[in-house]
Amino acid sequence: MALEAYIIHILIIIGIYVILALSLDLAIGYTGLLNIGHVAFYAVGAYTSALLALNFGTPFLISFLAGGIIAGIFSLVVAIPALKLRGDYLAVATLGLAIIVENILKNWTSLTRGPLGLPGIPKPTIFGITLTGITYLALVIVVGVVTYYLLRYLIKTPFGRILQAIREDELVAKSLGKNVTKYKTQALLISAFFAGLAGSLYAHYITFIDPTSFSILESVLIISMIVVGGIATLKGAIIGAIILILLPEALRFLPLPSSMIGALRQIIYAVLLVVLLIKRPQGLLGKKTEGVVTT
Amino acid sequence: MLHIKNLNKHFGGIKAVKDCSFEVKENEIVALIGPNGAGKTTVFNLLTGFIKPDKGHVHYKGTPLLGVKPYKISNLGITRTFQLIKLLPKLTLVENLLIAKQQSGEHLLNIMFKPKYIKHEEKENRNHCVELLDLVGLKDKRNHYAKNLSYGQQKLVEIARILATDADLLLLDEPVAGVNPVMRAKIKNILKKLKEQGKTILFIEHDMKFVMDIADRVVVLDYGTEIATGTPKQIQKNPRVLQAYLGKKVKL
Repeated sequence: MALEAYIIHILIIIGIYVILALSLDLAIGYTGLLNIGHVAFYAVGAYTSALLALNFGTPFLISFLAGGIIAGIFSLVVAIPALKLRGDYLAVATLGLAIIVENILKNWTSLTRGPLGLPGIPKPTIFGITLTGITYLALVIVVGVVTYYLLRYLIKTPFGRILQAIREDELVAKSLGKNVTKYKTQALLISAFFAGLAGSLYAHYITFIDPTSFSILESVLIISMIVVGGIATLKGAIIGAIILILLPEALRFLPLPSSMIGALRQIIYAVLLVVLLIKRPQGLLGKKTEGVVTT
Repeated sequence: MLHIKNLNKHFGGIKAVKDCSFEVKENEIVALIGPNGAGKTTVFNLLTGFIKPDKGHVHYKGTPLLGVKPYKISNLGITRTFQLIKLLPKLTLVENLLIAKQQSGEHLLNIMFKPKYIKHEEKENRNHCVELLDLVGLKDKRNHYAKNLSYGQQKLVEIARILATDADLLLLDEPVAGVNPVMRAKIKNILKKLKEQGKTILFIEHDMKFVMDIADRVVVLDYGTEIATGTPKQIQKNPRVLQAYLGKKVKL
């Protein structure tokens, strides 16, 4: 029974990270927006959803959608100054964003209770059924599948093609009549929306959130997922999320003395990732660069 | 069609374009020539909004262009190529051309509310783009990545791409630079065909044979100012042009 609960727990966490990795891949992989602050949208979604449920008792579906929408609106505020920047500069700006958000969560104590966090976030109830364990897993899977298919559809439309054109060469997109700033803003908005939904799913699953859950390290983890899986491949984002959550869990069961296992786990984990990226720099599912590269 | 008057642009202490004025009439092929550093590409960048001028006027079909953003200028029906080829390397050839189309499927609201229509439109545009690739002889490679083509083939794709835009005024920055004679003849024929279809072309080129073969009129720039304009034959005999290219006669 305990093992079953453990497996369900791991699967739910994987599901939440799948949504985060998929949504970040739209920004980084497809649009070329090097966003290191994805965790900020995740945090905004989680806090929005939790605060609505705690303070106003809003039904889950409403807090859940609000988490996504507020994260999306928040991305617009960010987009106005940040999207004028390119490449490395955008990376630094979004890094700053993540740190700012984390500090606001820590210091706006009247709203967020600061480092004390928000306990007692209600488990979601849909149609009178309270979702826990396997039913919560079902909810996460539904959201994950919908996210995957929506994003897959989107990148195959002319809209998605423009995002990829912007990634390849902004000047070309501009010279062919595309309003590059508008498309970047929209890509970031969609990316933030899904990250917000993932935040809500996390908050209502753990039922307790505090600023430490949304440190910059989370962003690094999500970026690692899409790099390991293969950048700009949605399936790769999924595989990457599964591997990076499962790998440290699997290492838990290594027959090692308990005094060493903590440090060894992290070393093995890091070595495996480095080996993987040396052997397959394009990621597990990444497209190989065919033929002769002329550039 | 295109009127340029007293255009000025300096970069630091260098006057790249100085009181430059000329015009391009409808359905004309005009060559913009001049020694290296004469300001030709800067003029293109000013016309397409990529850099902002210090002063001057540019009108396209009566609409002022200065201060208008590049994407809006493109949507007025002016398109350009770049001196260094700019394809989208990780997209296929068809996709490279499809980017040039203006489609309703580029807008999120249409994607949400008119999915059938955008699919239909995309299909028609895709067929048109394949036709254009056929025109430049690259239909077979339509699903290849752009980066896997030879230099000359990439030039052809770039020309096919500006055809996909439906623009009336085409600005080509060195369309045959570094291209072999066979490819050059091909590009020449395509440009002639475009003129027959009613397009207007302004191009920069150093290949004088190509310029003399195809241009209706030649505008010569030197130090950012137009120093001569006329038919290819007139330009060949113009003493100021010879001086700009070959230097002043010095008495020994």
